[in-house]
Amino acid sequence: MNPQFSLQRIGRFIVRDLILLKGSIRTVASVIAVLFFIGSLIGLRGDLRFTPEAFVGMLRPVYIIVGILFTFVILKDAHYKKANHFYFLIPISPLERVMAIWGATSLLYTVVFTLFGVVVSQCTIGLASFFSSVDFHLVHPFTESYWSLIKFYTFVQPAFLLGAISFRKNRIGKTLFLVILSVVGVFLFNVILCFMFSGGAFDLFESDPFTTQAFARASEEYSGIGGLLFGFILGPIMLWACYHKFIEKEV
Amino acid sequence: MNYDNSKPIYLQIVDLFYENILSKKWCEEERIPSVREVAMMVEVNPNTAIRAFTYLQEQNVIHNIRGIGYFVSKNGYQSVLNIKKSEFMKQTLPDVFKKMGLLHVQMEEVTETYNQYLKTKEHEKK
Amino acid sequence: MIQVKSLKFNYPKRKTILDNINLEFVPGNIYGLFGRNGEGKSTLMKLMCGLLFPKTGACQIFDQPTSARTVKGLQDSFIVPEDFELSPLRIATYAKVNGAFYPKFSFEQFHHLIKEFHLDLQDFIPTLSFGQQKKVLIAFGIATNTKLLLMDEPTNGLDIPSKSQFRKIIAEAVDKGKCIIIATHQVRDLHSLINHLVILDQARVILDQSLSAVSNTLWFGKPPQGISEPILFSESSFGGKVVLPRNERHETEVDLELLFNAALARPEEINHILKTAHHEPAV
Repeated sequence: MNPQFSLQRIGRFIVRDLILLKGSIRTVASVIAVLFFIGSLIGLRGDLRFTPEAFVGMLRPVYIIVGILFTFVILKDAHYKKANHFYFLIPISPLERVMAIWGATSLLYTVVFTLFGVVVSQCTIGLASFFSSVDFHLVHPFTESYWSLIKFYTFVQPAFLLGAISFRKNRIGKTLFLVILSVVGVFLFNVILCFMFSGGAFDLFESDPFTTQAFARASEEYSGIGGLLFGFILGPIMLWACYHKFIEKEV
Repeated sequence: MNYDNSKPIYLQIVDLFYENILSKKWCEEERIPSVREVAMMVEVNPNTAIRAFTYLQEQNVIHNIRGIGYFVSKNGYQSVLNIKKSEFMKQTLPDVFKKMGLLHVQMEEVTETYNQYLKTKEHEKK
Repeated sequence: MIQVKSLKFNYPKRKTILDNINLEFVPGNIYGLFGRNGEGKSTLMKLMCGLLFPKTGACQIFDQPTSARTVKGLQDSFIVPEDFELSPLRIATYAKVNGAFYPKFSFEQFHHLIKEFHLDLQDFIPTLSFGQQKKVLIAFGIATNTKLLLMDEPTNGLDIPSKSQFRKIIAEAVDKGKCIIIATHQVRDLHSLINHLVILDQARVILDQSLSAVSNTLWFGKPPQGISEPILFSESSFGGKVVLPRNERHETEVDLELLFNAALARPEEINHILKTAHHEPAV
């Protein structure tokens, strides 16, 4: 067994983190359960069916916000002066640590969250079928919009992970600011590229200032590249940066 | 254990052993606590306790049976008695004599006090 | 086991706090690390467990830099810091969740130590006082059975009976394979446990000696009458104690407080006499 890499240690670290957050997880889970219950009821309005789109619509805001909060909370010991010495001396390698944290906040979180959503909405449908004219039917979570939501979270979340390790104070605010700044940056870069390629054929402020052709072209033609950039390069780079942060971190 | 500030701790542990042997708390050929137990009992570094054990072995007061532990030697009581007696004669008494000189205490007074002490002892026994 | 070589350290934008430190710690000993407040005791401890990285020089555990924080190195070292807060868990859960990372962790031993400290495995950590939390961490640190155990002011926050329990527990815990380093200024609490002394002053090591070497060469006590040799150090507090070269005198217990003050006042003389006498066979 490689002394610097063991799946068992990763597992133990995830268990440790989850047990430490047990109380918060319980509270948040009950709040989410209520939200999902209400969300499912709203979804059942009208045609009395809970559509896959309604399911994703219900999941989306909670999934992203709670996921990001979870990412920051799981790393709070790393910055707390009275606890971080022990946090950084737990016998686990930086790679294992990154894998464990990412595994918990991304993979495990997504699976559990989806399952939770399905169970709550299924229960709601079941209940509704007893008390109203709703026919019992199954929830179908795995649609294209569901997968694009997961993709979005999976690719963006490492940036928040990096922010959670790097900043000491006001971590969420700073990270959000930087993420938004870089999204705007990439978008502007696309616009400029597009503008250059078309040889200045567009007047940026020609018609509607917010939906100029350049903007439209930029988001159309470069969204593929942008997605690739965000998805397959940026995410791993962020994780790799986290790994280095863990190596360098002094207390 | 209350430490005397001047005497090395290991010798204070030795004194504790002597006391236990003289008071028959530890009898001859009986097993005594291990080094670690003694170290814990008197709250000292085990190295210090080892030093006390070594010293006592040199004085033939205790001996080690490999794999079992330490025991008070066959003539341990007698050895301790001799050691303490000579210590009394060579150290304690001269100190007392010195004080007697300083305070002009006569030998008769000492004898009187000693007899009185014996009487009270006798009385207590009854 | 753990070596410090020409180590230099300063916090960002501050003056050098440790300069050219050379030390070696070997198993089977309890080291006392002394120094005035702010002389870098805690900093050195943090460097030795890999929480801080040296600016120059090295700090190695089993020939690996501690700053690498290798799994193997971390599995064999533990630090009880001066100030800390434990996770809000029951004592038993705390030990199970964290003990899993230490291959030699023994839950039975932990349980025994917790009982020894008059605590209960079911106690909820946030409801405990700081001193009690300290006991939990000390018990956990010992039960991890790491080869290196660092403790920064372990008796701070412990009441008088607990200090005695602490000494018992440490006397029980130390063995040939274990190296315990205690940084403290509470000399009196620990003097019976320590068998090797390291004193830091003005960013340097001014004394690094085993107590047996000290008691072989130096004599501590009230000044005897008619001494011919110069007094190395004297203190005018009650009784007026002095440090003398031992020569033919009876061995005395090392008075750590007196030695500490003597070493701070006259480091060269104290070191000189210890070094020249060190070559003679131990008595």
